[in-house]
Amino acid sequence: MSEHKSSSANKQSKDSFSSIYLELMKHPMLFWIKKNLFDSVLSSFLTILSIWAIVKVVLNIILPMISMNWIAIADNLKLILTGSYPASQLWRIWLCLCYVSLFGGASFGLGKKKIPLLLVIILFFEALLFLLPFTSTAKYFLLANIVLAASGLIGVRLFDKEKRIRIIIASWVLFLPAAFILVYGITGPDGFMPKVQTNYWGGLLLSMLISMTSIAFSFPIGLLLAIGRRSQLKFIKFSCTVIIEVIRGVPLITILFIAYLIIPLALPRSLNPSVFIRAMIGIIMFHSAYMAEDFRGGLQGIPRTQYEAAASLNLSKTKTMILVILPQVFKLMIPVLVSRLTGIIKDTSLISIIGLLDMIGISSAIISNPHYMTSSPQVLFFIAAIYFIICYSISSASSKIEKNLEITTKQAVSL
Amino acid sequence: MAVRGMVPSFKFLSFSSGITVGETLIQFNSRSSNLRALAVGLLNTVSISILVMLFSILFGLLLVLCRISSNWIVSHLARAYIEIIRNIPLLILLLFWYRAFFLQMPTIRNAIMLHKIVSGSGEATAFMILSNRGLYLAWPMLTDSFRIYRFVLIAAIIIAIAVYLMSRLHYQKTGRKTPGFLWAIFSFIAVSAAGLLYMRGNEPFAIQIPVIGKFNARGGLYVSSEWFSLFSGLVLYTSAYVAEALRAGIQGVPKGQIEAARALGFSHLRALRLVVIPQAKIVAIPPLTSIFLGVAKNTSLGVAIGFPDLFSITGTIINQTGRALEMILLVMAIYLAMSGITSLFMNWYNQKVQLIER
Repeated sequence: MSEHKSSSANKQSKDSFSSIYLELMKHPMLFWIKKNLFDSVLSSFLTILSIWAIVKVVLNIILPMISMNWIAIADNLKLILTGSYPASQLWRIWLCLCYVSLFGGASFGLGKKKIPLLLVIILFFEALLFLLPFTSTAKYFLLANIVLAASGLIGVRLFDKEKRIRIIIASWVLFLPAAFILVYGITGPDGFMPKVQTNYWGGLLLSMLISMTSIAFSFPIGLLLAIGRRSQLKFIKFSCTVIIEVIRGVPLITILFIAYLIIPLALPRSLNPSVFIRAMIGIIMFHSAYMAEDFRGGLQGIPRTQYEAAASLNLSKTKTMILVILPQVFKLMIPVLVSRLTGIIKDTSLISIIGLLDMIGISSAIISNPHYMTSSPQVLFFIAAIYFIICYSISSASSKIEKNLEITTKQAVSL
Repeated sequence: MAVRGMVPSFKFLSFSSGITVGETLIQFNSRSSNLRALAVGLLNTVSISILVMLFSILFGLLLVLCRISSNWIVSHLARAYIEIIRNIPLLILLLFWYRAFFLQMPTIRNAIMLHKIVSGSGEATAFMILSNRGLYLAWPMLTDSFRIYRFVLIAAIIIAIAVYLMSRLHYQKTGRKTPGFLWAIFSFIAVSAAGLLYMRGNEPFAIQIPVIGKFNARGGLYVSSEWFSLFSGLVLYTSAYVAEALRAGIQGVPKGQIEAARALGFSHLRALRLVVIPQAKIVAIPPLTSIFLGVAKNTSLGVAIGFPDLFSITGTIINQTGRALEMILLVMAIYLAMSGITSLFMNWYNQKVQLIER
């Protein structure tokens, strides 16, 4: 009898427990936690394991890192970002950055009405830079950058949709020559913008300039190679195929070494290009081949009927290509191109191996200074963070553009 | 070029190289020829690339399982890992790994040791010694009697292949499937274990335990910090890309396929193994091919951390002999041949998978 009673009591308590449980599950947050974190035994175990891992990482890596001595970064910030570019002329680089902020903000303004993630990232990054020991002019420029990015974001709404895209594409096309004129200078040593030779360029500035130029040049060269590969002339087809496959089959370092060692041998002595030019040629050669393969994919994506329709309109082959095929290919290619840009930025880090002082080259110079010898983790971490922020914002921009243009192409696998 | 007194010739390859290489898989000293130095580099590159490919598949599989897991925290951790790795240049990753991790390890005196034993004469031994010089591991080393034992191994391999072929034949005759591959592995283990038992007292392997000296340790398997940082850095890097390729493959399989399999009474694992993976393979193999082509090329970044791979030895020979053009042509040809072999193999595998699909 008593047994029966206790079991019924047990049942009752179980019932009340499960009713409490059901009541709790009505709360959306608790339901979410149950569903996403403690769905099964394995899942709960994994949750606890990963929380433990996160706590360990925070305690053993992140907290010690914050308390580390970051003086090496603070002292060499200018070196890491611009190399040995003359300090009195830094405003020219700031102007370039303002240009980027304005049109970067405008590009993001193309998206949906929600505040884009990138702007938050940029704001965070710039806030972080505010904490770093910059000069007061630099701080004004930083403030100007934020204001410009925001105004670009809002200002782009003033134009109608067709104009917006045209303005932004034109501004990015114009950016490269403008940046080169600003950085290289036009006047003599006493003038308004004295020339600065390429061996004074360094750090982030150098990587950015080389990658921007490389994408600008490898785009048309890659396109020509891709069209050449589809040519009906056997010789052109063969030579384009060989060029593309050979370059794609060897590592970038070999191409850079060819550019570094062989180009001066092949050219007459009077025409000795600087290491900057040689490195750029190497990177352009390498990425043209990859770009050609991207274009080949794009060209194959155009249905045959397009060619036939153009032929029935009595368009010549060149006109078919320029007026009918390429505009469609370009639209298909935008996301691929943007992800190729991150690939180029990452690959540019290799120029340090042939002796250019990009961020990595500068970092080894800093570490070899006995004063900062123990701070190699900090310096490398800082550089990695800069690369991550740049590449991550570009790739997230790429997926945004993809959504906007409603293109569904596979992301090119670049390694 | 002839104007500058540089006539291309490959004679220098047979000259004595005069360089010393830290890690060699074959006999090498500073009097060996340049060609032999190149072979040392090639072997280092090939061995590390194959190991990296194998381990990055395993690690990538683990990552993709975490990434598509229904557990929110696990999938977001995997995603963060993949995003961070994919947006950082490999060179930085390697340098960071080498300079900020391996070189910051304690010196050999204060090394991290596993199962340390100090003997009466003051000599200390440990199963694993991790210091800034690299990693020493207790490892089964071959003894003299391995000369006999290797015939047992060859016999075991032949028997395993025979078992596998027999199971295939059985399948073709009767249409009933037997786990031929498992049987083959089992027979290999059985035969080699029988050989070991027979040779008791005269073992073909002896476990060598590293002994700690004043500045160095000796004995056991030695892995230098350069090798280890290149290997682990490349595995960390490649596995993120492998995981993304596999994810594209798995998510390319329509959800209806899994639901249909579940409706037929398949367990979740069985549905994954028999329905999802065969279809995902077809999508994932072309990107995986280009990732693996990248691995052999990426090992050339070992030059930045001082690992003597093919490219860094080429650089040294160029510095020694001044034969830039010849060496670069040679090394390009070697890399092209390696890429060619890899892509031939992957294309063969791709075709095989596609045929099964029909």
